[in-house]
Amino acid sequence: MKTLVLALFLAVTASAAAGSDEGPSPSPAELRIAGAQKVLEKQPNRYQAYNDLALAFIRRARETGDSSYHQQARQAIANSLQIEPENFEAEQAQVDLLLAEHNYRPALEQARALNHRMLDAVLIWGYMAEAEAALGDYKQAEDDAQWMMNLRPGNLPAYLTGADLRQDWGDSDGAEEYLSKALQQTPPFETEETAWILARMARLLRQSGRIDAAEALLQKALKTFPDYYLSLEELAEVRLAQHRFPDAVDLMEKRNQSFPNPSSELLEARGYELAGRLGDAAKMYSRFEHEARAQFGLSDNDNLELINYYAGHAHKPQEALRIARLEIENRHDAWTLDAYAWALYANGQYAEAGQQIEKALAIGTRDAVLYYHAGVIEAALGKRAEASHYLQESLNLDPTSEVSEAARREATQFTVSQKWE
Amino acid sequence: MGITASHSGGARALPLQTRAMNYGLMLALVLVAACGRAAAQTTTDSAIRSIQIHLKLYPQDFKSYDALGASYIQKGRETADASYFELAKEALGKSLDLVSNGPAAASAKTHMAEVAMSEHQFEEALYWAQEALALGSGDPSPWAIVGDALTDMGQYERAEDAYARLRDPLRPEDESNGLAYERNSRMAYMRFLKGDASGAIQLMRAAIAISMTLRLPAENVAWSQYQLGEICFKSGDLAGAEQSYKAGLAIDPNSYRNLAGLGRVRTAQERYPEAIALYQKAIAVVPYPAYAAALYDLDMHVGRSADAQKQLELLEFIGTLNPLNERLFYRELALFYADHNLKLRESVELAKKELEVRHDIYTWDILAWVLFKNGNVPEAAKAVDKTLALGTRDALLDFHAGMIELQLGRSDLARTLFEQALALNPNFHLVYAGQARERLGQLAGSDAHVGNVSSSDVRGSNLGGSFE
Repeated sequence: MKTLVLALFLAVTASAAAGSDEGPSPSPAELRIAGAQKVLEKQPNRYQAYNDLALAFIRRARETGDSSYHQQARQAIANSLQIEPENFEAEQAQVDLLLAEHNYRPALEQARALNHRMLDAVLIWGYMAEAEAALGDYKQAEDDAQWMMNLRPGNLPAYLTGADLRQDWGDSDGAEEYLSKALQQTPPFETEETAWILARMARLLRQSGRIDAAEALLQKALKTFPDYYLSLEELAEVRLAQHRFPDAVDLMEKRNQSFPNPSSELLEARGYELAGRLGDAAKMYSRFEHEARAQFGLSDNDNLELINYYAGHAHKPQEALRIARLEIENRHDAWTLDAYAWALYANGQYAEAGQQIEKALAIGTRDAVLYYHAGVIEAALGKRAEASHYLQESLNLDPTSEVSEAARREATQFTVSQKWE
Repeated sequence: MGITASHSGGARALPLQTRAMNYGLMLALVLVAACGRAAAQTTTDSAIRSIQIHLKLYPQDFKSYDALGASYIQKGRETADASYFELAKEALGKSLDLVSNGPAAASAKTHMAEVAMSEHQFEEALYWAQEALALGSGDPSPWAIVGDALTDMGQYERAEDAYARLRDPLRPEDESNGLAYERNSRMAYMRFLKGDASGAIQLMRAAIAISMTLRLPAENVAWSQYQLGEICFKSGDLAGAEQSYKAGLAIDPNSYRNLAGLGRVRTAQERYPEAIALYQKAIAVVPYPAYAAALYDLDMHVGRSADAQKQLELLEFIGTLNPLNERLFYRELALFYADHNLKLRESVELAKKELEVRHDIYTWDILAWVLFKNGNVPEAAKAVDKTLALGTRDALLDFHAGMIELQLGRSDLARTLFEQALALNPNFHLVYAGQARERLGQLAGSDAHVGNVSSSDVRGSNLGGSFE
């Protein structure tokens, strides 16, 4: 162990030193990758180093948005399991990887098996909660997240899991509180983690109309972990909300220079459109569609964006509904229910759309787009009071959301028509 | 529907120790604390045995390997036997072989950091403590080791920032928990370093009160009393120092630090036979070079040169120990050699070796002193600047600086430093307090002597001068 520790330590410090001379400092994940690799150079049969390496690759994927690191993580896990079959931490890393790739059902099954093996492993409870929430089992997710908190009060993963759930339930203040606590606990040298939390907090603030506060957090995030794609994306959203469309485009162009994904391309397309660059917008929408479709059958996909795109911008409601029906077979979280409802609405199936949006709303999620969809669907069902309520809620929640103008228009029209009745 | 942050249970409920000590929830400390204060050494042994038996039955229990590592660290602290730290590393390594990711691994990584601190591997300690923090366990106690490592690396501002994080995230206002103890005891030292002795004493007293309330293991409470005694002694409060050292001994009669501390007070009070007896007792528990050096000086002072020779042999023996032990004593050996004009060239090498890993003001002080004793006064002066950078009020630092300034011909500055040293503590050192008075007398009589101090002639002739 002594030799290994020294090797790891030297690798990390050497990498840090090299980084300081030759350019930007290595990221936390890069340091961990270098450390684990150094250990493996000396002891290639050390399974725990492969586990460390796998987790570092998964984190590196999050740092960069480059999902090819997941493949490297998978290989590291395989190596670890080959050396020491059924070792707990390799299987734990496997669940982490499944979740990173949005493979919720197998992740949940495997996490539950690990939970039986080690009941007090905090991370496993968190993995189960994450998968359950994604699959729509919020009650079980709540129970499991509470276990995390009870087992080790104040632990960082529990705050992050809790923040996700609170956000889903519409408790944005509670989510903000947990993210703040998570931020307090994150050591400053964990720069990506800090920026990641700040970007999430900024999203919460933006989605409740607190644009300036969101921007301040994002500036801090970008200072902490420069050019972080998640911060750039969120700042672009802020710029859109501020109607600074060219600035949003600049940010998205910068963000999409490396490892763009369909979602980020969609945001760039929206920026072009709002900035009046319709040719660029069309190209980027097309690119989004092409790439999102290419990922259609994968677990890590952008199907919800694709559904909303077909239901709205692209005017292909049937395709939207086809994808939504496939998606709802696997997931019943608020966002999938919302997308399904919206696709049903786009196809004129208002009654079923109404049922689905009610299910989404029942979870408690408070989101301007969700409320807007609910308002429009209720209007189509002739439920004027409900429609008016949801449209107004959408505007109250976030007066600058991407659907705010449409919501305002609908609400006004609605009010006018009410006046004439 | 909602998740709530639990306020019950958790790692913070149990006692913590400080500076190369244990943190968090540890089976070892439960066992040690439960068995009473007076017999910490034997209860640590019992804890080790119990955990070993448990591990024979449950060899996959990573928490017990962690607890075993923690117990070895405690044993190492109690005995100053560095081999326990190696055993601790082995046990902690096994724990981390079983679980090294997620909040559950934070404790073992924190203990690894403690081992590294105990072995004066400060960068490695920093690395492990950061690894522990990165796991997000909710236990901020690794910040204590981050701060300790940074302190020894001379990065005081960053160290203070780290100590400031020692607050329970669930109850940040709580000033009576283990984290408050850790924070206060460390911030006391920072205050002292920055020249605020009264602030340091206040904080250390608060830390001791918490340690008593929390019923920390005897060794830890005794350590805290020793720290308070040290601050009092260096501030010239002999009565306060005596009281603290005695309080430490009342809790842990085998506390070698407090035995030696009280020996130092008795030396200052010129109660030499008592001082000798106390140092002898301390050495019987742990043969630290500093104690042997002090006893050597005392024996020489009272004319027991045969006994003094034994201490010299002990010191020589320590110098030939394995590299790990030797590394722990670079500074003490360098100081002893320099003080006694022994192996002067080697004293510089030792001080420089220490400086490779440690950049705190006391290492700069030793370097300044050994350079001075080797006649390299310009370099010594540069080191002194670093020693005095924080404004620490420590008579011995002032004396060393005064001697160097005198040699450089800066008599006013030297006079101020000698006066400062004696004002702070008229009996700060068996020999050097007299030397300071003597130099002041010379400075008052004639400035002609100034700038002509032999760097190898600052010890009193009754201590033997040069042994080479």
